[in-house]
Amino acid sequence: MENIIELKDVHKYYGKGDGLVRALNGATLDIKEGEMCAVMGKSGSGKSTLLYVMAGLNKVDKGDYRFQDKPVNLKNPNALSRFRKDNIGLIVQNFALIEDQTVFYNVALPLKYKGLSRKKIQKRVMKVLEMLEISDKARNYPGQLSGGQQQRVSIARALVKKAEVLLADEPTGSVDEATEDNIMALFRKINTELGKTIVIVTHDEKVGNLCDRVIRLSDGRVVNA
Amino acid sequence: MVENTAWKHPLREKEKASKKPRKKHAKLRIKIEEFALVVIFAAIGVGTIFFGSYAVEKYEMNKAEKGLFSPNVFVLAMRGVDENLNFTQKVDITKQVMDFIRTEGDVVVYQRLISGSIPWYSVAFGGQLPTSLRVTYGRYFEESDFGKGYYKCVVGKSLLLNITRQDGVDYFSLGTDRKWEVVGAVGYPVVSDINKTVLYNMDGYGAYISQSEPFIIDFVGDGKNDQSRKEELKEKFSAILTAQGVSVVELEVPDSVFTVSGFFNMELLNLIMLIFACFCVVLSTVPLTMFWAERRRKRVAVQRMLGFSTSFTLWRMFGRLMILFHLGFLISYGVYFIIAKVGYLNLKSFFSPEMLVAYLGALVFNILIAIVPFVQTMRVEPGDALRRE
Repeated sequence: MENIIELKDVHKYYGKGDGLVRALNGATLDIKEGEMCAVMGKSGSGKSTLLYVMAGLNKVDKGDYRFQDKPVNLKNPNALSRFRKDNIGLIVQNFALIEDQTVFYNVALPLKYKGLSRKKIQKRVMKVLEMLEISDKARNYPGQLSGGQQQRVSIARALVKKAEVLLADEPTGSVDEATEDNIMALFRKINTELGKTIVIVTHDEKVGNLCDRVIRLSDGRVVNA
Repeated sequence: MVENTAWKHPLREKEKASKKPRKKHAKLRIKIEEFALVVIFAAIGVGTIFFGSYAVEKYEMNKAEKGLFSPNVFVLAMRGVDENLNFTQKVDITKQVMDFIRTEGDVVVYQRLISGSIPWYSVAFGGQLPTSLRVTYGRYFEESDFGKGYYKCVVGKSLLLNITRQDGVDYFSLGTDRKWEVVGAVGYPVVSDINKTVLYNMDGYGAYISQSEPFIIDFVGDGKNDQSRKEELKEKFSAILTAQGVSVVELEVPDSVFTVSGFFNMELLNLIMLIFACFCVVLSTVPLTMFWAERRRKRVAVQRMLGFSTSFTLWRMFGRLMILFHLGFLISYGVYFIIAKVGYLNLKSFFSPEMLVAYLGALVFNILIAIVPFVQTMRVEPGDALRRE
């Protein structure tokens, strides 16, 4: 399998002078296509920052990022927006759903930006919702769903745009243990059936054990890939 | 086992009970916000329609005032020899005035009678006959109306109700035996003194204005302040008058008959609506728009996280704001229409200058108040969507 994500000597700093925080301090790693891996580390080790760099949410101070063997412009915000739109499905702990819109609207949002017809959007969204077993919740608002269901909506939104890579930041952080198992089973299903590359940031060893590989971070460096 | 399933955790039950209504309330609040914005935009619309109406009215009044109040007008009045108002001698200088007009070429003379017998003359020069008045009925004077002993008049459109019809001909009367055939009506769609003016044909190339009516004259001149020409004409016309054995005084020409205080005093309804509109705008619009934008901040952050470009996000937001604004403006037009129907206001058609001024005013205002929230939106980082609330 080829590398889909390649990070080389990536540095990301926050603050200045005495308050300078080296969130990433020369992180280097490769993630292969179709792989399901976990990024783990202590709190403040830089694992979320690493994920956001991979997602194109963060600019970096130094280093190279190649996606599908093509360089990603980490300096230009517009280029990063396009990169996120085309390649990345992001799933976050707080779900990042629009509260005053329905589940259908939330899932359809990335497709609206792509300019798809209403009919195509309807078809694709319902297909994904059915796959994630929440098609009956399409007309509900996020606030009317449980944490696990909201996370499924978030996953559906990441899947619907057919991104190659799903990046998840503590996806099981806001749910109970039973729901955690369901979500991890769902990730495995997406990984095996759809062949998506999945990177999960977690501090939960159980979640790490359910992945193919665990990447450990310490002080902004990858210590075990 | 049965007891376990029957037992319910009080805190979880409380959470469950409070969950649904809270979300319903959240959904309702969004609608109220947007409805409130529409109402505020409607208030802005009403305010700007009134301002627009005022602005256009003022513009048209100024245009109407160009005659008497232009620099190219002077007014001379006859007095008795001792310069008192006890002038009783009947003076007919129609022929002299007609000769004066023909000789000078660019002059119009309007005669006005004070107390029915004391004439004074408004002399306008450097322009054409007052043909820019909007004829709302019939026609304006033609050259054939003069010099043949006809008694014809053109009335302001507000006086059309006072005319009588005999044998298919409309007549206007001053209350005396003399009746004037009404050849047409002139005026403006706005409330204007000229709508109450009567122009009679004096038996010459000009017209005189009733003593009891306002004396605004629409005189189409180039507006140049030709002081030497004015003095020259003043001297010549004074000579015509003094030849009748009378004394001549120059009357003061006021700067304007239209004042803002007069406008406010006359239009109490306008004043109330303007205060209401200003109150709404100042106290509510800006904070509400910012609040609305703040509510959209999370949505924008999510959109940015998904890869939406800044420009796309802003255009969507702008489009939404414009929909609310236009909805509000249409409502405000409805409100204005109702007020105009029941109140003392002139309503023009939807595509009138008032509406254009009002629309553009409201649009500019709304764009201006949207700048701050839009700048805030531009600063939203995609990472903001990841923050836990």
